[in-house]
This record gives sequence, C-alpha cells and structure tokens, in this order.
Amino acid sequence: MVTQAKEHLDFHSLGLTEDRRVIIPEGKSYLSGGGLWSWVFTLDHKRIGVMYLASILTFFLVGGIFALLVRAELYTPDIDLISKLFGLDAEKAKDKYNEFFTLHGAIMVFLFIIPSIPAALGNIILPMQLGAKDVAFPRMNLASYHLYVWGALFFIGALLMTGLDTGWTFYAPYSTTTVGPVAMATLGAFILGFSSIFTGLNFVVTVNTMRPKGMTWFRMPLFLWGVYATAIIQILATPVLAITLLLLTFERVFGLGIFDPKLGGDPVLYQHFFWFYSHPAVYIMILPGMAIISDVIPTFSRKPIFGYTFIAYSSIAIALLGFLVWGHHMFTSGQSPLASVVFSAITFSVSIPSAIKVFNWTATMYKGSIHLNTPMCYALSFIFLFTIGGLTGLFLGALNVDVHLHDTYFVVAHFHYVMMGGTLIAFLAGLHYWWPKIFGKMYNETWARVACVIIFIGFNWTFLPQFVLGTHGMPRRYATYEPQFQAGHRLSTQGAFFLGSGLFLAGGVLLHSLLKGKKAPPNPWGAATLEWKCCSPPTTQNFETTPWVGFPYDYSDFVYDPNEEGYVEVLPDLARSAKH
Amino acid sequence: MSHADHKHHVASLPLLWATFFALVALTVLTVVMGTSDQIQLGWLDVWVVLFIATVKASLVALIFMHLAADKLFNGVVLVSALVFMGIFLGMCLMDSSNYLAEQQAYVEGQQALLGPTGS
Amino acid sequence: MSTATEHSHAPHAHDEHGHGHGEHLPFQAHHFADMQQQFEAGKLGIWLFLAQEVLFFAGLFCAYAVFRANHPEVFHNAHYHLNTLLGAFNTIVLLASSLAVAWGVRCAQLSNTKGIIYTHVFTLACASLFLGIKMVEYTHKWDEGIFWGAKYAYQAGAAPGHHFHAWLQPTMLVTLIAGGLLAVIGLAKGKAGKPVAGWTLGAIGVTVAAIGLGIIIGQGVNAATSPAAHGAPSEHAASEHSASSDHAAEEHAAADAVPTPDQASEPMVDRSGAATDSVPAEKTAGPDEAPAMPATPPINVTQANFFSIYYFMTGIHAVHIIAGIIALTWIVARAAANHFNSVYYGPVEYVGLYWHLVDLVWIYLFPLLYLIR
Repeated sequence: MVTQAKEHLDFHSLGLTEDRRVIIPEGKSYLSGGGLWSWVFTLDHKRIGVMYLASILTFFLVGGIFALLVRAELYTPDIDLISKLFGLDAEKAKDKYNEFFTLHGAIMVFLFIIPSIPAALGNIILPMQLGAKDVAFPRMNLASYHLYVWGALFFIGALLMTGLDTGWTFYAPYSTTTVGPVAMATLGAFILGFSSIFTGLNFVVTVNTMRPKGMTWFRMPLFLWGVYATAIIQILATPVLAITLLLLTFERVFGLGIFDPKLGGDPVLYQHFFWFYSHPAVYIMILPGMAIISDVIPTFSRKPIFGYTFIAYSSIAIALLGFLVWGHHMFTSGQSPLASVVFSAITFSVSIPSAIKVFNWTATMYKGSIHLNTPMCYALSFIFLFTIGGLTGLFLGALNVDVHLHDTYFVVAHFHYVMMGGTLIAFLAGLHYWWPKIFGKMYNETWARVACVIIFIGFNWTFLPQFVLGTHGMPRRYATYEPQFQAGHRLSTQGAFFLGSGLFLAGGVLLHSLLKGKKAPPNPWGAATLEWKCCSPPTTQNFETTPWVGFPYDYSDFVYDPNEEGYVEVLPDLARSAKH
Repeated sequence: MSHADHKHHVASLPLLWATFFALVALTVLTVVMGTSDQIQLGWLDVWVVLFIATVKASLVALIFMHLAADKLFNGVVLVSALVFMGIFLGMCLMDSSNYLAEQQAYVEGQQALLGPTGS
Repeated sequence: MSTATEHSHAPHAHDEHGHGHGEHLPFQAHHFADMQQQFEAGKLGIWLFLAQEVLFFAGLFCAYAVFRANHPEVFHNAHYHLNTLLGAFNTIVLLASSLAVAWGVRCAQLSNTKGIIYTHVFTLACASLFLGIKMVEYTHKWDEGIFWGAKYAYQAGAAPGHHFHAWLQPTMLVTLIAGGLLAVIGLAKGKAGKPVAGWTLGAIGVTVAAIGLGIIIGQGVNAATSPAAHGAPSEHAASEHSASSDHAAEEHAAADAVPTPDQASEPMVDRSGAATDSVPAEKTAGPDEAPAMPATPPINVTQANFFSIYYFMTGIHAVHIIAGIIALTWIVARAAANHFNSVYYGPVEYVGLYWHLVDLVWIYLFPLLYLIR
C-alpha cells in the first residue's frame, strides 16, 4: 500500500529536505462490484475494454487452432490428416482445408487483429492517457462492443454451418457462386465494420474535444497519436467495406450484377472496392502496434523518445498514404498497367514514415538505460520482426518482382511478419505493459520473458522457411504440394507448434498472475504518461485528482522505490508544491 | 450558462428562405438543362449537371449545415471525406476502361464453354 | 479541469457523480466538463458520422461512375424509364424538408419549442411524401418487369408481368386512414394535457398519412406525364394513364388491362440484347446503339445493370430516410417534453445535420439517375 510505504523511502538520499513524492491515493477498483449485468451494460470504458479483451483473446484461440490444423495438414505433401480426422475422401478433405484457412484468416483479421489494439487496449488506455474520465460517447462505445458480439455470432454461425471457403477476401465472382454461408459471413463482417467505425469515431472525438487543460496535441503520448491515426482510417475506409459487403450479399442473394461478369458485372471492381478498405485496414492493424512500441521503448530505456514530432506525424502520414496504395494487391488481377505502375510507386513512399519510426526507436535506445522487462523484450522482437516484414513488403510492392511472387508463400510469410510479428507482438508488449494497470496484478517476469523468447524463436522458425518456399514457387492456399517443398513445410509446422506453446505459456503466466500475482504498484515501470498516475487498477472515474500534464516522456522525476517495487514521482524542489 | 449561447451561430430566416429558393431555382435549371432539346452540350452536359449539383450541395452545407459559421475542423472532416471519395472514384475510373477487353474475352470464353444456352 | 495546468492534487470539487462544476444541468453527461464541451463533442461526432456516410455512398457512386463511363449508351437508354418530373418533385420535397430542419435548429437556438415541433413534423411529412412517391415509381417499374440484375424482365410493349401496382391504392387508403386516426388520437392526448404522447402520436400519424398523400401525388404526376416521359414502350401504361387522371379509376383500368391477350405466356427475356431493352423510338432514333448489334454483345452490360445500381442507390437512400424518420420523431417527442432550449439543443442540430446529408445525397442522385444525356 502506498500509504504504508511512505515512511520507508529515504528522500534525503535524493537531496531533498522534505518528502516531495506524489502520492496516488487508492480507490475502489473499477473491476469490483456488480453482477453480470453491470458488465454487459456498463458504460465504463475500462470494463468495455476488458470485455473486448476477453472476446478477442477467445477468438485468437479459435483462429490459432485453425492455423495449427492448417499447418499440421501441411506437414506432409498429401492430404491425409484432415481426411483421417474427419473421415473424408481426398476431394472433400481439400474443401475442408479451404474452409480452415478461410476461417483462420477471417477470424484473425476481423475478430482479432482489427479490434485487438484499438478496441481492447485502446478503450482501456486512451481516456486515461488523455486525462479524461471516459470516451466521448460511452453508449456508442457499448454499442460498438455489442455489435462486435453480434458480428462474431454471425461468424460463428457461418463456422457451424461449414463450407465458407472464399478466403477472408470474399473475392467475387467466386464468393457469389460458391456454396456455403458467404452471405452470413459477409453480414457478420458488415456488422463488425460498424463496430470498428463506432470505436474510431469515439476516439477521434475524445482526443479532439476532451483533452484537459495542459494536454496539448504535442504533449499527447505517441500511443494516442497512433490510435488517432488508426481512427481516421477506421472512419474513412470501413464504410467502403460495409457497402462492398452489402453489395456482395445482395449480389449473392438477389443477383444484382455489379461484380459477377455473367450478369454484366465487373469483378475487378470488387477488388478495387475490397482493397480500398482492406489495404488501409492493414494500417488499422499495424499503426496501433507501432504506437505501443513508441510508448514502451522510451519507458524501458529511461530516456525521452527520440524525434517525438516525427513519430507523431509519421503515424498520420502512414494513415493517409495507406489510402493511395490499395492497387498493389491487384497487380495480377487484370488491373491496367498504368494503375499498377502508379500504385507500385506510391507503395514505396509508405516505407518512408515506417522507417522514420524504426530509426527513432533505435535512436531512443541508443545510450539509454535499457531494462529488459517483458514488454521491452516484446518491443525488441517487434523491431526485428517488423523490419523483416517491412523490407519484404518492398519486394512485393515492386511491380515486376510481385508478378513472380504473387500468391506464393512469400506473401504469406510477409504478411505474417507484419501482422503477427508486428501487430500481435506489439499487442503482447502492450498487454504485458498495461497488465498491472488493467488488473492491478504483477505477473512472473521470468516466465513471461521465457514465453517471449519462445514466441520469438517459434515465430521465425515458422515463417522464415516460408519466404524460401515462396521464392521457390510454392503457391499459397493449396492443401497438397510437390515433395520438393516438404523440408520447408516441415520446419514451418514444427515452428508453428513451438510458437503455439510459447503463446500458451504467455497466456498461462498472465492468467496465473490474476490468481496468484502480487499487487501492482501504481507505476511499476516508471512511465510518465497519465495512465500511471491512476491507482492500479484504476477507479471508475480514473482520476481521483486531476493529474498534472507534462511531456509524456520526461523520466527525470521518477525514482524507483524498492519498498513499493515501483516508481514514484518526486517533484523537483521548485515553486510547484504538492498540496496533498 | 450564458457561455453556451453566445458561441452559437443563429442563421437568419431571410437567409434560410433565400437559400431554399436558390436551391429550387437550381433544381429547375438542372431539369431544364437535362430535358430540353434546345440545350445540347454533348460531353459537357454531365459536368454541367454535376456542377449545378455541387453548387446546390455547397449551399446546403454552408448555410443549412452552418459550415460557413462553424468550426473549421468540421468542414475539414467533410472535405477530407470528399477528397478520399475522389481518390477512390478517380483511381477506379482510371483503371476500369483498361481491362474491359480482358473481361469481354472472359465472358466470351465462358459462353463458348457453356454453349449457346448458357447464361 | 478547472485548474488542471498546475499540480493541483486538491480533491476536485465534484459530487459523487463527478460533475466538475457546481451547476448541475439536466442533460450534461458526467464525463464532460461543461455543456459547451458536450455540444462540441456531439457535433464533431455527427460530422465524422457524416464523413463515414459519404464514404459509404462513395462505393455506390463509384460503381455508378465505372459502369456509366464504360457503357454510356446503356445508361442513356435506361434513364428513359425514369419519370423526371417525379424525381424533380421529390428533390423539391427534400429541399423543403431541409429548409424546415434548418429552421427548426434556429428555433431551438432561440428556445422556441413550438417552432421545433412544427418544423420537424413538417419534415416528417416531407420524408413520407418522398417515400410514397418512391413507392409509386418502384411499383410502376416492377409492373413493367424492370427489376435489378438477374431478375430484369422488361420487354418493350409487353403486358405488365406483375401487379404490384394494385397494392398502391389499398396502401394509400390504409395509410391515410390510420395516419389520420393516429393524428386525431394525438390531438386528443395533447388536449388532455399529455403533450409528449400527443405530439409523438400526432407526428407518427402525419408521417403515416403523408405516405398516402405521396402515393396520390405520385400517381397523379405519373398519370399526367407518363406518355410524354415514357414514350412508346409503355403502351399499356399510356393507355391506362390517359384513361383517367383519377387514381382510383386508373387503378381499375390497370386491373382490367392485366390479361392482355398478345402476351399470354411469360415473355422471353433476352438480357444481353440492348435492342430488346430498348427505349422510346422517338428518343433513340439516332445512331446510338441499335444497329450492328452482334449475336454476342461486346459485354453483357445491360439496362439490368443500370437498374441494379438504381435500386441499390435509391434503396439505400430510402433506408436512410426511414432512419431519419425515426430520429426526427424522437426529436419531436423530446421537444414536446420541453427538453430543448438555447443551452441544450445538440440533438436537434445533430439530427438536422444527418437529414441535410440525406438531402445532399439526393441532390447528386437526382441528376445522375434521372437526367442522363
């Protein structure tokens, strides 16, 4: 308890004549009290965030099981595992395989990655970092979660009905003609889209209108900048997905004839529509991940972030440039050569703001006092994996190389490096970083770090061989392959299970902390952003006292207090005075 | 309490009515342009019609929706939505006429496969 | 909030709900510092929602633009099936409703509750009028077999394959009677000292009745302009409409005209040939497209595609109108409960902005669909 630790810190050793520590008063945790309904219909942004967190982790597990099934099937060149497991002949088993990768992709994209950081972590952290009591529209926030659940139910419905084999992209005209619950899944994605729009809208309004005095735009933590940029994309891109999926559903059910060439429709137009959303959506996935890393690295380097404004603007730049490059998914679709060249050229420009971020993170660590706590370990593996993912993206953005690599495992490896090596690892970094704040419990550092290392090794073990497989011509989405590819696939499958065990270990460590973990101090890492000026876990109101807003990466006032096993803010001996 | 009302812009009634009549007049103009046999502008026609629509839309946005007197940011939101819409439409339009031939070949190939009855 | 710039760890002067300020306004949410902040937040929120709506419609406009740019002749021919006068009339109806809504916001800013209610009930009437007219337009097209995409079955000069038309008159009667009844009940409630229930029911009554009114106007305009606007292809329509301008009589005429002998069997539909899809003779007598039509047309794009886009665009727009009707009714109810005044009128403004956007979309839809050359 803070009040008990008061006597123990030797403030004389800090050169102070009086106790100038900022005491963060304990309050009633937002987690405690109330029955089930007080959660389901809560308007508290933190509770909504926790519900999101539980939901997305559940779907991550489901999507992960499908991934392991797909990888296990690919251990041998023939289709044998699925046909044995489900007692199907080879052709049927191949259909099953198509369903599995479709469900893996669709669940991971729509139900896990897109809501993972903004809707789950962002919901909890954003108002606190901003110094606000809640998001601007709490009811809309709750509606967003309920829509998410409804969308997820549609997806589960499609899953139970089986036969969804279009891939997560729902390309027409295949999706308008294949059997299977396509309409159900697209309606699910339609609903999820509105959930995402509501979250983004809420965040933009909150950041724009609810900053307390002193919280200027350039005192906002970079997490807020990243989530803000994400929210812009969510508002401007997601409606196009909504209308696309609505058109697709109507095309399928009523024979509309917008996309199906048999009815005079234009299938390439579907791809334009789809990627106008789905390429910016890639930045919905990665931008908040970068935002977490921008907060974690300075905290654990005990050094202000290098190039704050550049990182802040680069988030916005990525968000805007992300709208101009969707055609690089369509180089081989029949898109005109002119469009391909234009899109290819603009694609390269996205690497500039991305590289700015990586350089600044590296420069932040330079001569810093690096503490290898779990979040920092994840942040370091993020930089490593995201750099590989980003650089291989340049191969695919180059028009001529892409024609060779298109639809091969190179693409699969690339986007897993960015989405999983990037977003998932950043999500884990953020989860471990804010876990003490969210649940008020410390986890076991040693085991959490072991899990991080296993995940890092397992990840590379899984996906590095896929780059090689891809360049040698292994096409994606096939259940069977030539024996020459088996060595690579074996490695990849082994790595996938190793990776899975690491994820289970990380999950186990976190769950264990909920039951047996030590109570977390208000500021275990010595971060300077406002969420650490609430108690752990926070109260419903977040701030019992209005916090003072300074530069979010100035660590000079934070001192480690061994009695508290966390940091305390010690006010410098200036005219400012703590009145408490 | 008083801090709330002095910030809000109250539109005057004559202005609202004038806007409405301007909008009606523009509607009549565009109908005349679109149906009259005397006025034939050829390829220009669609642009003139769209221009009139844009003038009307601007009137609604600036006066009925108070954008003229509102915070700049709200206008920026609307304009940026239109800009992204323009990018979307522009890129799709630039591209779509180029692959028509391929699409045609596809349709013909399908018809050849299916035989004369298939469609 | 009040003194957030300094290290003020003094407990904030808030009550247990956390209101920062002493003054406790009835509609201030606890997490906002003051009404001004709440209003700004709500307004930015609705603007972002409108931006989202613009992009939502952008998909449809994009589909429209791509199909029209590549197949202008199809669009040109197809638009003759649309009644320009009805479209123009609907445009004016929506513009009037937009004026009313803007006026309503002004009333709210001046704390004129009655003004809010009157303008919004008028807007509701306009919305329903629009929908009623749209119903007439839709049913007339369906009767001619003008559906979307794969269902498209129009043949020039063919007898009507469907009789959706016949539903118009009962709908009109039901809506007029039910709406009138509701309005009367609302009036009684209002007189009995229950303004909220009274105005809400009254507003719903006006909304429902205006659908019937819209059908009457639509039928009337259709009857008056049909031969001119439709020209040759709708001979049956021409005959039935010219028979009488009275909609009731016309209804009977339509019913009589059903079993036209010359088209006993289901007409064979050639989806691909624009020649059969065609168009008034006098309008397309140019070198548009009719000659030199090969056996396999260049691309299967036909008027069916135009009408897919037409129905989808106008349909989504109509869905927005219905959502607007719900929101406007909510405003009427809250205004009747005396919630709005010059300090708190956010919802009036937000719903108003949404309604203006619905109008804005139509401002573009009208020339793009009805005035193609």
